Amino acid sequence: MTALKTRVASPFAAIWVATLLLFVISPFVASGSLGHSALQGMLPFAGILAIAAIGQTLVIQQGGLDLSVPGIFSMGAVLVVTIPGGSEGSLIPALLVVAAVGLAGGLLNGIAVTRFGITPLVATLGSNAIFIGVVIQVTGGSIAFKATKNWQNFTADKVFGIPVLAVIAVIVAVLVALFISRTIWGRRFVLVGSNPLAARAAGLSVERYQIGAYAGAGLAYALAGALLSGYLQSPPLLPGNEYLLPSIAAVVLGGTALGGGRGSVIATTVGVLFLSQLEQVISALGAKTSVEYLIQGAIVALGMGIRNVPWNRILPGRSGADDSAAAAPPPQAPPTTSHDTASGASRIASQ
Amino acid sequence: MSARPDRSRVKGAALLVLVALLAALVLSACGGGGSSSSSSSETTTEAEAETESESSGAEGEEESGTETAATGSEAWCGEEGVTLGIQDGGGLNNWSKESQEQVQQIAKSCPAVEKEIVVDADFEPQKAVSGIQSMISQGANAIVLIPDSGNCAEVPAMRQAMQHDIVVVPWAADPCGTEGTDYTKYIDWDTKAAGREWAEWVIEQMGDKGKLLYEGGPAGNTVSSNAAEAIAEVVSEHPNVELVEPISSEEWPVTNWDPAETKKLTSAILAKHPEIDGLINDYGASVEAELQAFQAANRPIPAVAASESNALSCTWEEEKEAGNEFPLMTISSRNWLGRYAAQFAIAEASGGTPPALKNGGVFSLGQWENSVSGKAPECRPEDSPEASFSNEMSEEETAKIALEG
Repeated sequence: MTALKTRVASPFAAIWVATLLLFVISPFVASGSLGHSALQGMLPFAGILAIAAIGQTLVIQQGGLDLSVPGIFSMGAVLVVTIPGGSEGSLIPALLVVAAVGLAGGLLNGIAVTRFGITPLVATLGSNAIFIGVVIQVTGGSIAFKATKNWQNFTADKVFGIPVLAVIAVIVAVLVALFISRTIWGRRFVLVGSNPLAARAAGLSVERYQIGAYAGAGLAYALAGALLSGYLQSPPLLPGNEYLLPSIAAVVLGGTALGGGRGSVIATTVGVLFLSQLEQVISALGAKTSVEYLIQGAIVALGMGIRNVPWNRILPGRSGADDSAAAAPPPQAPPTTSHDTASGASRIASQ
Repeated sequence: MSARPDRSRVKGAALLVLVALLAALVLSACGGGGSSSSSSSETTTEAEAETESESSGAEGEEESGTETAATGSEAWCGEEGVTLGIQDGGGLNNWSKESQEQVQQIAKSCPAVEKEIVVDADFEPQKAVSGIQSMISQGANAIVLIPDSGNCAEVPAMRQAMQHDIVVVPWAADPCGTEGTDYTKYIDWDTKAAGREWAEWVIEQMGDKGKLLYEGGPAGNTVSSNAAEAIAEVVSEHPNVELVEPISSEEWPVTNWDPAETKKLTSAILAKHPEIDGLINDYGASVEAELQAFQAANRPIPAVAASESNALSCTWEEEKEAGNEFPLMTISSRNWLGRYAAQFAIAEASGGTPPALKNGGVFSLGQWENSVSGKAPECRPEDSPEASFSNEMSEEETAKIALEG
């Protein structure tokens, strides 16, 4: 019972409830928005966004923010079509280059933030401009090729009737979640995110984990871009532009703390599902573009804002432990006051 | 995130700047695309503008811009020297590249054109305005521009150029101002005529009954607005034809001319409407994504009318080979209108005879490809998916559409 209560009170539970509600009311609000055809159309794009958002989760969990999504995403999208140039034999090398470029881009971000002490916002904004410059330089302003047939077929494939892009997103989310929750490195990763000073005091190499988060994120964006290229067959020049804000919105809706530490890639994936279905419902309603943006913006703002309401103080009958928890210092408070955290960190570090 | 000592920060920042500079040098040395980035060409011209406005004359002109080769002359190419400004409000796609090439072909064929100043605004109004001002300060006496960086954003800068006695010829996008005050001549396709052409043809293929879907570009753009208005008018003349989604000059299903958006939008519309008998899309390069949504939903592709695109023609050919041929009609993507825009601007600035343009310079382009009764759609797999082959039309062919007599 206590375990159930803990789960319900979890910051990641809200997005599950909201998504469930949205799916339940969808057919009543907009007929056809939950039909087979609608889901088949929505899930592949949701899968691509989920992979990018998982990367963003890792960075935000480390107290960072990655604005280089458009650049790295677009590099992945462009390289997977320009390197093979239509030749099937070059697809695998192209995918390896995409992965390497994604990792390198993320590493550059991580090094700029940790080693050079540049604010994540500034570092990733700057690197994004470099990556977009690379895309334009490589393509000369237009993409001369389509994705190879094999890549097109793979990204359009289905597994037991479910679009493969959605399946890949779920696999990535589960693997990353298992890595974070079940491995020592994963637990240390969470500790570094929630309290880097305590982690450093416990002997952990904080910078290495933070750089790792950016590198993993870069890999995720590049992979998402490459998958989009295959799915669209002829990608536009800068497809990543459309993925920056939704990737951040999904992370925050999922319940990951913008200040770092607390985070869940599974909840982020559910956040993506929520955003995608919301878009589907609004489209199906035939709303004007202006109304569509207004509704989407309002719901996302509401979803984010509702987390900051001090429910413990507002709602009657919620006191005691809850109140003291609300009044307690935030998890980012200096570790000098938290002997427990430091000793907990030592335990994790010594495992 | 972690804090580092100040000294190492300074060292780190210096190292980062060094790495960025090296990366830029390597990239510019080995650039794969062939054409230079828009931003760099603007930076060059702007930086030199200040020097030139002070020193003036041929010396400065030799240092910047692209020297053009003289290969011959026509009536529109006069004797007086021309510094030609070429600006695109966008610049980052194949359509923009083709448009620029068409203008530059003409400039290169006229010996009077001594210098070109090229600016791409990347859809940034501020960049577009500063680009025009840079051309003024560099002594341009003719400017050919696509004014689509924002909603009527170029009007004040165009007016400023006119006040400096510069010939200003906007083309391919509505400039919003007044002829004679804000620009010299506006050259474009007639988007309402295009909308009528598309709608009448598709409705004919539908057997004068059924449901028609129109998808257009970003909200507020004049191409989609005019096309939507004309399509709605034609549909109202056919009582047995219905629009799948309501359209007017202010409202239509918005694709943002982006393949991903197009595919998402079409999937949502398909989920809502079990019957769609005809499609119109004002951007051919997006239609491929629209048709993919039909294929993914296992729905037959109905009659399609759009602007031309190599990818669309290739999809048509693939479907035909697979026994699923659908009727397709396209209208030229109109980059070649840039030739007449350049001729007009150069003629006015060099003392030549401007081309006698039909209909005041706004043309009804007619059909380019028609799979049912005309020129069959052409697929060239080796070319860019966005390539437009109507730009290969000969002078005689384009003259039939654009010139009097």
